[in-house]
Amino acid sequence: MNRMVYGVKAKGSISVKIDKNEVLRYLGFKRGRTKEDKRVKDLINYTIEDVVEVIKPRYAFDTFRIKKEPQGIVADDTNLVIDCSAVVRLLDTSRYITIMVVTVGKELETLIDRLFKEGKFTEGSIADAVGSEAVEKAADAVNDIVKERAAEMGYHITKRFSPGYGGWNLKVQRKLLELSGGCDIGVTVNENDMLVPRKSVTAVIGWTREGQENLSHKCTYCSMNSCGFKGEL
Amino acid sequence: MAVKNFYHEIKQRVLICDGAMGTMLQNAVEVGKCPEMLNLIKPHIVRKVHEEYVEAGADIILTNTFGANRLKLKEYGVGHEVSKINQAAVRIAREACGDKSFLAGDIGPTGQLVEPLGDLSFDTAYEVFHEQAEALVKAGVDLIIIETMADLQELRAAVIAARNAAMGIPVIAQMAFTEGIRSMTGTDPETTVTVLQGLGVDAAGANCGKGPEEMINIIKQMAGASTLPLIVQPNAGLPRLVDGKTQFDLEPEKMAAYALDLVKAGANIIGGCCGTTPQHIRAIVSRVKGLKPVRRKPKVLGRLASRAHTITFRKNDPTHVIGERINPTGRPDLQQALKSRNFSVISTEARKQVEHGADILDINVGVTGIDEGELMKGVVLSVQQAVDVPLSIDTKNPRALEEGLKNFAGKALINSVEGREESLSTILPLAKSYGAAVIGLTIGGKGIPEKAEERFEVAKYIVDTALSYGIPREDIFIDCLTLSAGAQQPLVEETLKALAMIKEGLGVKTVLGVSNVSHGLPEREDLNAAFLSMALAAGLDLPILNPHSRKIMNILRACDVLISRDSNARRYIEVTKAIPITPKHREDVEQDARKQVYQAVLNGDRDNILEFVKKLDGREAPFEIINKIIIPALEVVGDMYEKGMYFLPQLMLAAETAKKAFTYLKGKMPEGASHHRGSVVMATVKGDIHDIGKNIVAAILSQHGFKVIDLGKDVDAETIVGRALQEKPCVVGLSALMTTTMPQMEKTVKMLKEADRDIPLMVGGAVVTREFAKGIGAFYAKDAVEAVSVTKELFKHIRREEGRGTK
Repeated sequence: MNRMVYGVKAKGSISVKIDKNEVLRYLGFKRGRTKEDKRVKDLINYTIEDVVEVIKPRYAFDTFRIKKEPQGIVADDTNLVIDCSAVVRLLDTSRYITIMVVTVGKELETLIDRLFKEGKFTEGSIADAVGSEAVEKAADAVNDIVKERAAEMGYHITKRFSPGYGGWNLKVQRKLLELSGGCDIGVTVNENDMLVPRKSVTAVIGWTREGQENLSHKCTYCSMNSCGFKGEL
Repeated sequence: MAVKNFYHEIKQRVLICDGAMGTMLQNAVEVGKCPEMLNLIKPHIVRKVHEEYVEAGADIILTNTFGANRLKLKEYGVGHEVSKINQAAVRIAREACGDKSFLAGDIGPTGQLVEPLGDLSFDTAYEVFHEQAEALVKAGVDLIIIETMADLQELRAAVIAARNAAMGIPVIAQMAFTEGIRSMTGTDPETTVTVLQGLGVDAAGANCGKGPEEMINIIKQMAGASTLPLIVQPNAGLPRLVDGKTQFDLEPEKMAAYALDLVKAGANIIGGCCGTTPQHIRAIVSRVKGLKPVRRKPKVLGRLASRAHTITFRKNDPTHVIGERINPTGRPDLQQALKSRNFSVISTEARKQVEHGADILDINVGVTGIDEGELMKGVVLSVQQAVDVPLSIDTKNPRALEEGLKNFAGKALINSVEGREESLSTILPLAKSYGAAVIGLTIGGKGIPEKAEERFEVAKYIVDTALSYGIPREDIFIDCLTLSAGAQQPLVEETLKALAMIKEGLGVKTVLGVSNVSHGLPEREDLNAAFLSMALAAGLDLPILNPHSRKIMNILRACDVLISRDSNARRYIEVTKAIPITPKHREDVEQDARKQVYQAVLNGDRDNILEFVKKLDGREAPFEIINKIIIPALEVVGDMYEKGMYFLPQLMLAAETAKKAFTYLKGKMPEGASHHRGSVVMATVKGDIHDIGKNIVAAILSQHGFKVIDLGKDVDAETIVGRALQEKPCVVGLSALMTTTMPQMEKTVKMLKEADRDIPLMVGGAVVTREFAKGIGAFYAKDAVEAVSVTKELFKHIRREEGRGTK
């Protein structure tokens, strides 16, 4: 059984369904307060269509056995050490972790840059928000795949956790990318540990035998108190 | 008080409804607890409130069941107690009012948004409301009042459910208008009342959301668009938060002072919503109770509606047209899209037709081998997201028709019913139930009759039957069928003859599919255009045509001028961009153009701004246009954005609109003159590739008249400092998204300070905080609007310094 879990890996393409309400939220729309504007909504609809046409959501993941060591959580046969306390807490009862990467591709970046260059600031900023939603939905879809694989083997999964949140240092990004198989799907990392293309996400998901998923509020892990969406997610 | 009296009473005298329950119970219900549970645990408190309203003189008492639907109660863990809670509420209210007042079962919203705006399906919403309405009716209420609805679809679901559960007792429905005079999801009073009249409610109106003064206008608009009795229940003024509790600021006498105006505006029932008390109701009773309602005589007109607007069939208005292009017959692209449920193709087709002038869209999704009902639902939901026009649901399949009617937020048109018993008895009940207008085809038991007289007879049979189902004449359209001139040449004239006879003899509106006439012949557009003009001359009200054809649309607009459907040829001229026939005075034109420019910036109308700015050519100096019109408009936009009334796309649209005007006006300025207020050097720092925020700030700053030198993303400190020394900008703006690149920001700031102490810096970005900015000696801007005000301040400061220098 253990051998089976270790090495649950996959890569491929997925399609995503954009939730328009999420796009509106990214753009700062507050229902009941912000003026309803049909023309703007139309523009958002067109832009969603344009973005959906250019993006190519792809993912890769691999699964590793983990152990608790004094210096943090260590993944077998790798030199990955997770020392961020929020993640350690999240993975408290987990025996395995899936490390995943997902991207919507560099084509969207080209589109956004072009829109801004052409002076289409509105479409540009909307496309950026749609991209954020697309990569989030793509990550959710991968999350579901992992959940299913875990369930087949009798495991529950924890919430997904990404570097940059809850004080998890971005430096781990390079390692996660390597372990998940990110280079296979064209994701790289720059000298400041940022993912290229921009709309990409790496994350870890724990596999646990214990009860249900960790359901704490997403925002409780995050230290960014000036965030405009704090507590709204 | 017997039920039948209600219909009589409401015609005879102004009735008074009770005031708030929620605000009265505020002290009895703990925050976060369910107010309807009081019906079970503390009935005496609820009864006391009812008794006070009866005592105050209310003719109608509402049960304490505003949130007593399954979905709301579920939030408190008592979703299974719907019938118990509603029954208890009715019993308590009846104890209090006996037969002194009408007892109305109160139904409020579920708190969830119905498709397509939300996730709640129409069917589920219907079931939830039906369950509650049934419980209320069984317990013995005299009426049902649906209130505080924020969304047209939810209102429709509630009304249809209540009417089906009501067993003949009156159903009253009210919308809450919160966004100006629109509901939260965009519906105006005229549309609300149009849809409600179609659905067959016994009274319609508005409650909550507004104080009494603002309600006057809403009631006036409803009164002008409907023959229904009207109900209004304003809040007691505006809400204020006092010691953590909501209070309203209008005292009883002040509130009652508006009551007479509301009656004059057309209200038949007046009550109160949030913040009103028995004292308010008593004051209103003393002013207007028992007055004779005003006699309204609104013109009875055909109306169709989408979520946010109503189209009216007035005799002399430009002809409305139905766009025929959403029909898979002979269109492999649409067949494919429908089979694969790729609705964006359909939405694009919908949008293009509306852009080309369609007022109504026909929706036909008949593809063999596919569940037409499901497909109709999907298409209707997605088309509404793309366009805001009434739909004509075109199908022979009753289930698909029902799905279409159900899921369309508005008053739809049914295409179509035939003049045969079987068709009439299937389709007409659906029209009545979902409040739709209907097209009758002059096809009888023996097919399409050849002679005009025979088609008239079929039409008469359809009209009489529809009237007997309670469908009003103004909601009936007759299509006397276009036959192909290639196959049945003589019948073309019969069609036109039948059309004129039906219009004249039956007083209904007429519809014709224009494009059929040319079937099988060459140069179809020419034939279609000729036929269209003949049909319009014969009195055709509503052509079904291809709006993408310029020829057809031009002929339509030309015909409208010739048959007096386009007063002063206004639309014809507007469309052909000709010069107005009645030139205004020069000053008026100037004044109007100024307003148009200002409004265009405010509304982000980037497509028309240049046209408006050009009207001011030679009348106003470019400088003045920028400083006195555009900049003030942008300031209002910034203010709206800060308050959350505009969101990012609206801010950006306004910026693009202003930019277009700036670019044009710059070309008009004398050589050497500059409208620039100063320059700004901007960059996303080294290592950071997330530049969306910087791009947005750059766009907004340049629209406020600053010259923005944008160095891009991933820019090293040396480059930024080098450029800053060269430009001497009024500020250098830096952005960074990640904590890992904040040190780069610090490094750049340090390096620049060493090179030139006097150039200020401004920083921003997701992780950047005010404290961090202060720590490294830079100004902070949390968003583009704040960046503009910081830059303006710095610019003023520089100018003052320069001023001193020259003295």
